[in-house]
Amino acid sequence: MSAARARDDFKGAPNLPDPKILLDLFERMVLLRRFESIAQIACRKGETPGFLHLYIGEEATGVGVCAHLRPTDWVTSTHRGHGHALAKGANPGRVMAELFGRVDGICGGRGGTMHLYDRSVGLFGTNGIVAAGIGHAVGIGMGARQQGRDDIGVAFFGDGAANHGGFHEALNFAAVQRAPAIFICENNLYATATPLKSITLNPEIATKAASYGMPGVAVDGNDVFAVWLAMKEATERARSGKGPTLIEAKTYRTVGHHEGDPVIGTYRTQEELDAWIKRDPIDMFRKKLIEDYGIADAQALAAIEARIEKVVEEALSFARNSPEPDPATVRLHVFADPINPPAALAWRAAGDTKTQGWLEAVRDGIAEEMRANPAILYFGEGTGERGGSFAHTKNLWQEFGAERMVDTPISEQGFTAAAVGASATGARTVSDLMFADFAFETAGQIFLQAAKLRYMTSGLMSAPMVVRVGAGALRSSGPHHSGIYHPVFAHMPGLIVCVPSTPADAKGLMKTALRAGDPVIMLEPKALFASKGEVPVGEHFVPFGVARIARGGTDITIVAAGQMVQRALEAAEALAAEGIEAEVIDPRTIMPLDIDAIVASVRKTHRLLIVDEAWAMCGLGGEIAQAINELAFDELDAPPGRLHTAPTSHPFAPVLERAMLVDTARIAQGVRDVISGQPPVPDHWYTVGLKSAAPAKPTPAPARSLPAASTAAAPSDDEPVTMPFGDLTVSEGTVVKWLKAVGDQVREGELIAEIETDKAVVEIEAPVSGTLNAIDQPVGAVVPMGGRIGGIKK
Amino acid sequence: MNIATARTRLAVSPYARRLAHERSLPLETLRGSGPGGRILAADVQAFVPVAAPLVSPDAVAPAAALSPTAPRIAAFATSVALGALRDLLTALENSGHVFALDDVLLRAAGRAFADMPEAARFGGASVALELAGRQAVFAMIPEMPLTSLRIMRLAALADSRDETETPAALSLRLLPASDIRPMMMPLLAGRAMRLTVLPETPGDHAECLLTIDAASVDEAAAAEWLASLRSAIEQPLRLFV
Repeated sequence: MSAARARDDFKGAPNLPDPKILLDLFERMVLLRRFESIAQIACRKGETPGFLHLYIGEEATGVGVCAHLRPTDWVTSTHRGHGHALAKGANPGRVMAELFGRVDGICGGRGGTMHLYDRSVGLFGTNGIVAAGIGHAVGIGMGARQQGRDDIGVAFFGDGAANHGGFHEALNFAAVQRAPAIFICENNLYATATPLKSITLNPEIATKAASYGMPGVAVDGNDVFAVWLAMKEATERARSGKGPTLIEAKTYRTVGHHEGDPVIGTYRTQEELDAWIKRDPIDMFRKKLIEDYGIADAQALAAIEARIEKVVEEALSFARNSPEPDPATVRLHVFADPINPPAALAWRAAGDTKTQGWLEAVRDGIAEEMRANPAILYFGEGTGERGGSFAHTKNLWQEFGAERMVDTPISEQGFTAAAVGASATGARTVSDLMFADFAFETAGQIFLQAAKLRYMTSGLMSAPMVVRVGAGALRSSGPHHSGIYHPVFAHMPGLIVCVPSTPADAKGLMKTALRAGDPVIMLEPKALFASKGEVPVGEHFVPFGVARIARGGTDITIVAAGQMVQRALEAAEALAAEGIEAEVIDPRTIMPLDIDAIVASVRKTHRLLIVDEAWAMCGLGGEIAQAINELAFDELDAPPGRLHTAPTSHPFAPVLERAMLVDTARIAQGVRDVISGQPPVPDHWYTVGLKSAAPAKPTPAPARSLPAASTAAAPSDDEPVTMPFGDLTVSEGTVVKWLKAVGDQVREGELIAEIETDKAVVEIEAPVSGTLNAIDQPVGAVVPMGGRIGGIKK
Repeated sequence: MNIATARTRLAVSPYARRLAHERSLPLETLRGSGPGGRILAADVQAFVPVAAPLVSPDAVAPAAALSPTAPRIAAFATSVALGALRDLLTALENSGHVFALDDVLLRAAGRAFADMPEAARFGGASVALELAGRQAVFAMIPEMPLTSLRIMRLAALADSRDETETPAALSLRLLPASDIRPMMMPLLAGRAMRLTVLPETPGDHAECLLTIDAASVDEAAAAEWLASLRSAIEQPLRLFV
């Protein structure tokens, strides 16, 4: 506690703040203590549902920190957060009512002790998840800065969180962004019951700040004035744009981990407890006010305590008298109501279209929205000057700058938490996680924080952010870069899940997402990045929950999303030749799901096949088929069928990957099976293992289908010069330069041409030495990957 | 699961069940074309009791001409005066020879086939008499004395044999007397024609309805057949020689 001691020697210092400030600190600490004492009794009486984590013993930290904050600053908090809520100014009666689960609670009874939010005073939640709120504070600060305010984000967390990735990712991101944020570690020595010294070899948490290049200060967390002084400096630093500070407040809870947990337990001694009780923050400060500062006498302080006693009694009475929430309201506040922003529902005349590639169309959509709304921030790995791994943010950094197109560290958890914090406090954010698989690196922020925020706050707050990822299988991307996972996201109440299948829908859904009121998971199939389509010129929004009939038909309904739409359309064309007219429904958003469109189609066709790129278990096929059972059973003339990607990880070998994925032929056969009344039977349950342990008789793999070269048949005796296969999501390039002419001598490896793709200029080298005897593709020609552009005669 | 229930449960797609309900069609009369005999919407929509291919020892080939997937139905009705027949039967009864309307109808139907050149195509002009839940088939009617025909009929009534599977061109249904006129009667499986006779309550007339599968019986020939039947009953003397 050496650093703390250093700040403790102001006794008799002439530069004390206004006595009112000091008396306010005392009063606020008394409020926190008395509130918790009353909550403790209520909890023991069984008046509060669930269990409480009390702040008793740590009051000096919360009060000393929050004394510097405005209502428009935000604090994020922990499971032990009642004190933070009160210190930040939340109404004691309404906080108590929330602990009672009553309708007048600050979250209407939906949040409770560990999920206390109050927009009016800048309380961004106590939090049931360790370290989850740290990154929120970073985003809150960055969002305020982007909106031109000098408000700051302050994160409270415990010593246990200091060993959590959320801490390290958030601090690093905040430091490099000079985020207007302050990190307050309340080090009470135990992560629940685990001593800090037993879980880290560096228990001096303040020193960890050095790893991230920010100041770290340790203070006596039981000395409210010491905390106040440290926070004063950190606040000035944050507000003035100098960046974040880590403050470690060394303190102690003089109660059990939670109400009902023993105060001593197996991990603490009575002697240790007694020593800390002697350093009780309120007693120490009372003594200082009277004896050291001489600004109040015992009687005056007793009067303050009597007044607070009345406040907390009124709070208890208010909570007890508040009614329970109406059970009929349980379904409210999951999504915005209406779920679509007005722009997405506005009628627009069908106008001109232009042919655009997927990536270009979505980039246009993002750029249009970023121009319209200066509070949009884009967080991503390599999405800045580089323009994204798929060229999916090309030119956005050049137009909007590094402040808005934020190149992040590889800290999915850290910057997604920041995206949650910023989006909930007036900004809008895109958290670009590159591959859908990587979303699990920050699953907690998506599922537990963003998705639940609206509900936990009874609709008073929300996190309108977009999680943008490339999704789905594409050319041997392998086990960690091929998943799509939309059923996993759709499972979580509060998440909107988009799986577009055309450039127009991808752009329209992205624009809607950037105006929506809820977190949106935008799963863009990588396999479609190289696709082109007609995109409406001008403002173009696609509403959530409105399916597209991709093809009309009368005999069977095929439901397919993302890259399965095109496969289904190809199957439908093949089936038409057999006299089967399939209707293809593209739901476009998995959540909300336009079940009405599917029911309407089944009423017409009386048969149903669901084709989905995600896996079958607890998946879209079962979901939609059961919905049809419930909504349109009497319309079914055959059992619904489902085709999913095989229940395996994505294998690397192309032949295995093809065996795993649903293709056009399988869809066509699935349709025939459903029409014959015997849908394909899946085997993803694994109840008896695989039906056949022996590998199936190997069949020769079909020839790999290369993009057809657009050249005419070339002379066969020369060595072809080709456009090389390169990036996964690039399918073609434009010849921009020939450095050699027909008849020129070339050496092997010599630069002979340049081809520009969506992402880069590819230099074409001579494959062999000889004479360039053919230029098949002149400058300006568009060449597919693998396509021949010329020939060299040896 | 109760095994007996499982065996008797009818497999019907939900949509087919709904369609059949809307059309008041008893599912038991439908033949399922789906897996395991599941009744599908198409089976209901195509409903007309489908005549199964007729098998005749004499003529097998024409059966293939039937199109079970697209059955067509035609129906012809006529009112037959019974006065002459009643007088004749009364006279015969007084002389100790008792015949019933059933006997006469069987005979008349057989004779009508004899007048029909293409009768041989339809199961050798055999007639199936519909009894309660079963059928008795009578062949060679024109060649048989009416007395023999009656004896055979009474014998068929007495035993319980069911000749539903025996080839016959026509099934004959005699409904109890009433003042109701039959408008439509379904064909029975394997019978291309069905004659329904309903005597009027006073006994002066009988309403006759002839239902045919137009895919296998020429409509004009069927009308001619019915006219021939009426003529035979209204001038009954010929039936007794």
